[in-house]
This record gives sequence, structure tokens and C-alpha cells, in this order.
Amino acid sequence: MNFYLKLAWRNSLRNKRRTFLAALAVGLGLAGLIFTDAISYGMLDGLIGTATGTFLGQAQVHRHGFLDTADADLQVAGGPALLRRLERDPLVSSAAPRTLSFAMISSPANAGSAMLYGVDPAAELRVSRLARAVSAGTFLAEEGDFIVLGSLLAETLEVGLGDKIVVTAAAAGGGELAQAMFRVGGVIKSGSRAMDANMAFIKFAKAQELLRLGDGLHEIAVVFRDPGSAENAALPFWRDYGAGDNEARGWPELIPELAAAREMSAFGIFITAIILSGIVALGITNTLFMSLYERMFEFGVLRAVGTRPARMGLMIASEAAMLGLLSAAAGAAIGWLSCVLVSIKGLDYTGVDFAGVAMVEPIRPMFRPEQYWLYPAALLLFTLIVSLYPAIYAARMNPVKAMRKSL
Amino acid sequence: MGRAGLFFAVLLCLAPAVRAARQESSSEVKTLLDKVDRLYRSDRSWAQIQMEVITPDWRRTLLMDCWTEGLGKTFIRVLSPARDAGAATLRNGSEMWNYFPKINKVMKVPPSMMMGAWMGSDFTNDDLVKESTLINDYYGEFFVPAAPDAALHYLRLKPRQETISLWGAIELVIRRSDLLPVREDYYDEKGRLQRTMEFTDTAEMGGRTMPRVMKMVPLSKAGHSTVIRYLDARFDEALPGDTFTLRNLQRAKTNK
Amino acid sequence: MIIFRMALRNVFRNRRRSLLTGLMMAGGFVLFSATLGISEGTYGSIIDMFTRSRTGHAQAHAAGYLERPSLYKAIKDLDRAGRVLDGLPEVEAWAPRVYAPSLAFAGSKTVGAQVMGIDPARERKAMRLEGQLAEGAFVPDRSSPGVVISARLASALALKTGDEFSLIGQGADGSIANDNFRVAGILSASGSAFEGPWCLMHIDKAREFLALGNRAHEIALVFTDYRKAREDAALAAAALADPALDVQPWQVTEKEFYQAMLLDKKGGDITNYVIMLIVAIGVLNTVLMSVLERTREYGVLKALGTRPASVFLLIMAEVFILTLVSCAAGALGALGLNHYLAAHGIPMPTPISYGGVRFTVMLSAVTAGTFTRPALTVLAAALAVGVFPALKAARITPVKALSSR
Repeated sequence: MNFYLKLAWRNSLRNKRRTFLAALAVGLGLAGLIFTDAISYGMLDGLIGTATGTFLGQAQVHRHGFLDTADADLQVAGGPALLRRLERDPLVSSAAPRTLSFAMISSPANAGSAMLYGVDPAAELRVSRLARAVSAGTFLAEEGDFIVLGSLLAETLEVGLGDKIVVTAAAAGGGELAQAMFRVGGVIKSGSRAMDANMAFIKFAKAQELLRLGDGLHEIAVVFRDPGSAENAALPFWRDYGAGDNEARGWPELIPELAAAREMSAFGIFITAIILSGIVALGITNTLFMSLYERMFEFGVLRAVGTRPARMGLMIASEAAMLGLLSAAAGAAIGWLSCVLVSIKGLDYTGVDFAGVAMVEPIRPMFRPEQYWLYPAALLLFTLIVSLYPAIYAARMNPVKAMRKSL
Repeated sequence: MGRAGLFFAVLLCLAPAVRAARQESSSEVKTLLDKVDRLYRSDRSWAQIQMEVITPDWRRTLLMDCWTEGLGKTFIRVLSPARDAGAATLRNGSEMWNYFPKINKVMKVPPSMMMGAWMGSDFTNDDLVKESTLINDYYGEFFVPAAPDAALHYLRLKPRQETISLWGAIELVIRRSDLLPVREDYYDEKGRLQRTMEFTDTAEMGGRTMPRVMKMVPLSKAGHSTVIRYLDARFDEALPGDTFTLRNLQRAKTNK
Repeated sequence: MIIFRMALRNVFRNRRRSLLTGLMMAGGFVLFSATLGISEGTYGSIIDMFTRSRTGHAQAHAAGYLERPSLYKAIKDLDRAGRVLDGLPEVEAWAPRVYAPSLAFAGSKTVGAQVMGIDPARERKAMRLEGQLAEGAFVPDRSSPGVVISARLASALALKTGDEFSLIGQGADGSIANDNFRVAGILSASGSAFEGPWCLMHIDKAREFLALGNRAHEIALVFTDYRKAREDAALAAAALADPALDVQPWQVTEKEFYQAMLLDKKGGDITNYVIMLIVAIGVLNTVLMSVLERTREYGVLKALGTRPASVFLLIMAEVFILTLVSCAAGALGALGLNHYLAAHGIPMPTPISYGGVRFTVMLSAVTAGTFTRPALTVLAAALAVGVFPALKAARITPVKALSSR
């Protein structure tokens, strides 16, 4: 084997320009695949990260049926105890408790309906990035009964920082009227119309008091140590915390559009890979045949001298392998370089709203180990397969005809 | 006159009466507030009221019968126009129910609807539900406006600390002669006038002398106003026992 | 002229070499064309399916309705608008709609609901609403208390087909709208574009419920070619000639969906550039090789007295002819492939749902772009590449050329 590889190497060097260009073309194919893969996964990662990181969390625990009606009575069964268990779970990085209810928010000028969240600012900081979207004031950092409103909601109500508003909601235990006065402590501008027009936040403890929940809660938002856990449906986590009256759901269930986008993306990469393979196959075959015809006489002599057909084929195959190795190296290097270069600034998609998620950060290519072992290995294998045609051609060559032919 | 009293009083603040002690009014102010509070209240009452609602898109006049008992119970039945006739609202404590003859169902008003307009007017469901008094939830003092009328008292009221109220201040203008209110101006905390109530057509009704017409204008909504006219009223007379029941909502005939 | 004949003969003289070079060019053409076609076709089918599941290719509203919807901002002269739209050949179908937020209650539960009044006959021609039904029957063709509700509303109020419930809303004349309704059918939970608490009823029933007279809030438009939605919307607006009416294409009414598509397309564009580059380099390699390896030949030509300029032209002409033939072959192949893929598509391993529409195949499309871009790429690459060796060959000294091999 070593002999053939050495031979292949020497033969490749005989026509440096051709070898170089061929390796470049094929290498670019690999680089293209690596880059496309990196960008696609980077984009999805960005989307998912933004969707789950802004407020949703990677997974949520609720009571069955709560999300349909936001009925204050449908609290997470064994809420406080469950929260403590989650905080201690090795899979979990952090968990934040929340209350959630429909509410009417009134100001002297107007009234508007909203989803009222009771959040614990300290726990929220570890689970969501909402505090960063505050465009005025703070995210419930001060003492006292403050409320944080979405910017569009604040506009409708014609209120600003420090203004008085009244919150009306249905309390637990019969749906009695719960009303309290708050001052606007902060305004949030997330960029997502849905959030900015419909959300309001007050302190968790105050919400529990207002809605007469005692120590109960409606929702626990969870962030895992390994983000992949959220997509792993096989984990006992889901059955553990989603037992009995509760349900635990990861973001693929909570935002099915993103899961769909990911599948489409994976399929898109697959199609791209096929097309690139087609072009690469052409390039390899082309190069091999070119080099073959050029050395027709040589091959003829080799055959005449007694080289067996199998060895002829092996020669071609090892030249293909050499080409494949060179291309893989070149492709991996170019792919890596392009990813690094693009990550410096990233691709800017800020402002685009997808499935209620507003992109707030540029997209960066994502490094995945598969890109540097799976794809090059596939390329090498593919190269060898493609070389079968010219190899067989070389093996079946008639020595006399070969020596007579010239390019 | 309890009906009107309810409208009037509940517009001021949005919480059950809370005993507050810190801010105090002078005794003279307190007397005035008390008089105004009591003017619109009685243990039991019945009134026939006409409510005209004007918006940029439509105009509507409703005729209705209202019964009240104490601060906690109210029953209203719409008599005309035909499309709305037979609709009824019952309020008992902080709960409220609506009945519409066409669908023939009693619906409990969910809290999310409480801040919605009652019957399309500029009053909210919540306004009907609140129990509060000027004297308990507000404190104030006399003030002198730019062009004072010698025949009038001018009071500026502020909500007490614990009172749940959207208003920064309420300016109350009262006639010196009979201590009847003439107008109320509601300001938000930034001192912007948000709505006004005007009281006119003082006359005798059911043994009391009071303004029969109240006009409410919300300044944040252009072209909107609601006018309430008292056509008849009786106070402290016995009311049928089942007036404030859900059963009563579904009855077609009114009880007097 | 003789140069051209020589070039032609040269191309066909050395079949093997020309075939290899040509194959690279044609192959690159076909693959690039397929990529473009699939990309175009997939987006196209997504857009078409999405816009026909509820929103339409464009919508007409009273001015300002889209930004701040209100019961009172209705299209006043619906009949006139309808007649104008009927007269436009670009408009395939249109359907009037009425919207109103209201309260739905059944038993002891009350829940906010969005009422939508539709004209079932017109919707059948314009949209694919009926396919989103999971159980029961669709909205009857005449005004009736039978309504179709979304899965979300059904679960919030625990309603099944045949159950009764009541709706309360604000009438356009200030009265309190209230009436009883019966669930005729329920929309699918995952396969429908109606995700919120929707209640669909006959438009005349909605008008009666809301005291709306003859008005409507929206006219959904479907054009003959969804790709021209923007132009056709402007056309319709001009034809309607009413400053109180806005006609907006789906790119505006469904801004979020559009942006998501753009986002995805941007990613696809990057892939396209990569492919273009690879095709160009592949062509470069083969053309370069086939020219450089005939240096000896050109040396002989020059020794015989051929002028440098003629040698240059000869080489360029060869490259040009070969490229043309390859592109023609490639175009044929691409046409066939894209046509097949446009009709049958690439089946996806798992069906994907987005916005209530299910996708099971990736389709291609046959458009001018799928031919012109690959053709330009291959042509530009080949000619650009041919220039250098052509120049070199033109200037080489015969002695040097003859001694090389």
C-alpha cells in the first residue's frame, strides 16, 4: 500500500498545477459544505437561543390545562417542593418560578388587557435575558410595588416611569376580583410585537399575594446545563417532573415552529451535500481521466511489461485517494478559515422577527466536530468510489492500443 | 338616589373602603365630604334613569330601572331600546352577573371584563362594583381657582396612601347655598385633566333635592361622553325580597 | 472565418478531451440549475400554501385598519369594490371578511374569542379553509347559527361538535351584541392556520350579530401569480381608486412570515454562491488543462506562420464553442430535471408543519433564473479562464512550444 501511495504522491506532483486546481475545486466543495453546515446550525442555534433565552426558558413545567385558560387555580401541583427539587437536579442549571394570569391594566387615560407575569428578578436573571431588554427604568430592582410593561402596552396606556396604574385580575379560589395599584418601574422593548404589546411583570411574591396563591405558582422555567437536554425526549426528566397533574415540556413542544425549522434546515443541508457531491464527483472523474489520457503511453508500457490489471486499477485508486486526502486537507483548512473570518463580525439579522422571536444578536457559524471528521471522511470515501470508473477503465486497457494513442 | 350615588362615588376610587389615618382633612372639609357621600346614598333606593352615550361612531339612549341596597347591592334592568330591552345586571359585593334575554343565559362577569365599558358607556363594570366614600378614601382642602365664583366651594382632594386610585387629584366644586355638587374634575398624577363630571338640573326627587343630570366626559377619548338623567326615584322604601337574586335577572317584567 | 472552422473542427477532433471538459461544464450547469430550482420552488410552495390557508396574496382594508384594527373601520362600499375586483384579470378570486373580538361563554367558563365572518362560497374559490377542518362540517352556505371554532377555543370551553355556546360582543351601533351559536365543526389543532380562539361564521350572521349592515373589514385577494403579489396589489389599489382603502400584499400583512422567509433565503443565497464558485473553479481547471496541454500544437501553428492574434482567437473560439454546446446540453438536462422535480419533488423524510401547513415534498421550479444564472456562470468562468492560456499560447516562441510536452 505504501508503495502505491508513494507512487500516487509522485504522480500528483508531476502536474502540480492540475493537482492543485483539482484539490482546490474539490476542497472548496468540502469547505462549502462545512460552511453551510456551520451557518445553518449557527442560525438555528441563534434562533433557539434567542427564543428560549429571552423569556421562554428551555423547558417549562405547568399544571395540565393551565396554558389553555390561565386559570389562577391551576397551580403547579406541589409547586414549591418541585421547584426545590429542580434546583437540586444535576441536569438543571437554574429554575425560575412564575405566576401567570390575564389581567386588565388601567391608567387614567386608557385600559388594556395583558398577560401578567409574577417573576423573581434574581431567579429570572439566571433563566432569561429579559432584563437586558429594559429600555427605561429597571427590571423590578427597586423596593416597592413596581410593574414593568411592554413598550407598546405602555404607549397604549399613555404611561411612563413612575406613573400609577391599576391591575385587575381574577384571584384563585373562585375568580374573585383582585386589584392592586402599581407604579411603572420599567419599560421593556424586546423587538417582538407580541411581547411588547401584551406583557407586564410584577414581583413574584406580590403576585402570589394579589392572586391569593399562598405559596403556589403557575409556571417554572428551566435552563439545563446542557442545552441538548431540552430536545432529548428520552430523558426521565420529562416523566419525573411531568407526573400526575403536571406537565413538563421542552421548547420543541412549546415552539413547534422552531423544531420544524431545524428539520427543514437539516434536510436542506442534506440536499446541498448531494449537489456538492455531484460537482465534486465530476471534478474528480475529470481530473483522473485527464491525467490518465495524458499518460496513456505510460500505462500501455506498464501493461505491456506485465503489470496486472488489478494493480493498474489500484494505481488509479491510490491517486484518487491522494487527491482526496489533499482536497480534504485543503477543504477543511478553507472551511475552518471562512468560519473563523465570518465569526468575527457574524451575519447581522437583528430586527428580524421569526415565530415571535426577535433576533437580537448577529449569527455566527457554529463549530461542530462532524464538520471536521464526518464530512472529510465522507469525501474520501466518495472520492474512492468515484475513482472506480477510471480505475476499471485503466485496468481493462489494451496495452497495444494504449501505446498507440496520444492525447 | 343610591344608584346615582353609586355612580358618583365609585368614579372616585377603585378599592373597597380602607381605613386610612395619615392624611387628614379639616373638620369643615370632612363635613362637606360626608354630606356629598350621603347625598347619593341610602339604605334602599329605586330610580328610573336615562343614559345617553355619544361616541364618534354611534349614539345610543338607554332607559333603565335601578335598585340598590346599602353599598353592596345593585340591580339594573334595561327597558329600552328594543334591541337591548330585558338585559339586566346584578352586582352583589365584588361579583357581577349579566343577563341577556336573547341568549337567555346568566353570565358571571369575569374579572378581565371588569374594566370593560358597562353597556358601551364611559363607565366601567368596575365602577359599578366598587364601594368607597370620599371621606374614607380621600383627604383634601379648600383652594381658590383663577376665577372664583363666590357662590361656590372649591375642594381639592387627594387619595390616601392606601387607596387604590388612578387619580392624582380630584377637584370638587360645590354650591355654597345647598351644598350640592356642580362639577368634578379628575386629574392624573402629572396634573393632566383626564375626565370631568358635570351636575345640572337640580330638582326634588323622592324627597331629596339633587342634580338630576350628570354628564361624564373622558378627555383622553375625543368625541365620547355619557349623560345620565334621573327621571324618577324613591328612597328607603321596602324592596321585594328577591330583587338582588340571580332569579330576578331572568324575569321579563320589572318589579317596582 | 477560417479560424471559426478550425476551432469547430478542433473541438470535435479530440472527442475525449472535449467530452471531459464539456461534461464538467454541463454537469455544473445542471447541478447549479437544480439548486436554484429547488430553492425557488420550495419557497414558492411554502408561500403559496401559507397565503392560501387564511391570509390571501393581498388584503384590502379601510385605511389604517391594519395598524389599529377597530370594529368601526369598515370598508364602506363593498359592492363597488367587488365589481372592480371582478373586472381585473390578475385577480383570481376575492373573499370578504368581518372581524370582531368578543367574549364566548359556555356553562360557567368565559373566554375571549375572535369572531370572523366569511362567505363560504367565495372562500372555497380563494382559500383552502375547508381542508383545515378536523371534525364536523364547515360553515353553512347560508346565514345560520352553525359556526366553526378553532381547536384552542374548543378546548378552552370544553366544546364538542353539536354543543351550544353564547357570544357577547360590541355592536357597531353601540348595542351589546349577544346570541347563541352551535358548533358545526372544529378546526385542526396542528394543521390549521387558526391558532388563536377563532370562531368562524357566515358573514351575514356576523353582520347581523354586530349590526354592521352591509360592510366588511377585509377583502382577501388571490392573484393568478402569487409571485407578482406586490405589483398586483398596487394594480388593484389603482383600479379601486379609493383613498380610504388600502391594498397590501402578503409581504406587508404577514410581515413576520415574510421576514422568516427572507432570513432563510439569505442562508440559501450563501450556499448558492459557494456552488457557483465551485462550478467556476471546476470549469477553470478543465479548460485550463485542455488548453495548456496543447501548447505543442499551437507551437506548430506559430512555426507555420500563424499570427499571434489568430492563435489567441482560435483558442478563445474553441472555448466559446465548447461552452455553448455544453450549456445547451446542460440546459436540456436542467430543464428535464427541474421539470421532474417541479412535478414530483424530493420527498422529505418527515413532514414539516409551519403556520398550519404541512409540507411533505420539496418542489423545484422552472424559471428563467434557473437557466440564466448557471449559463452566465459557466460562460464567464470558461471565457475568463481561457484568456490566460490563450495569451500565453499566442506569445510563445515556436521553439519553446515544440520542445515542451
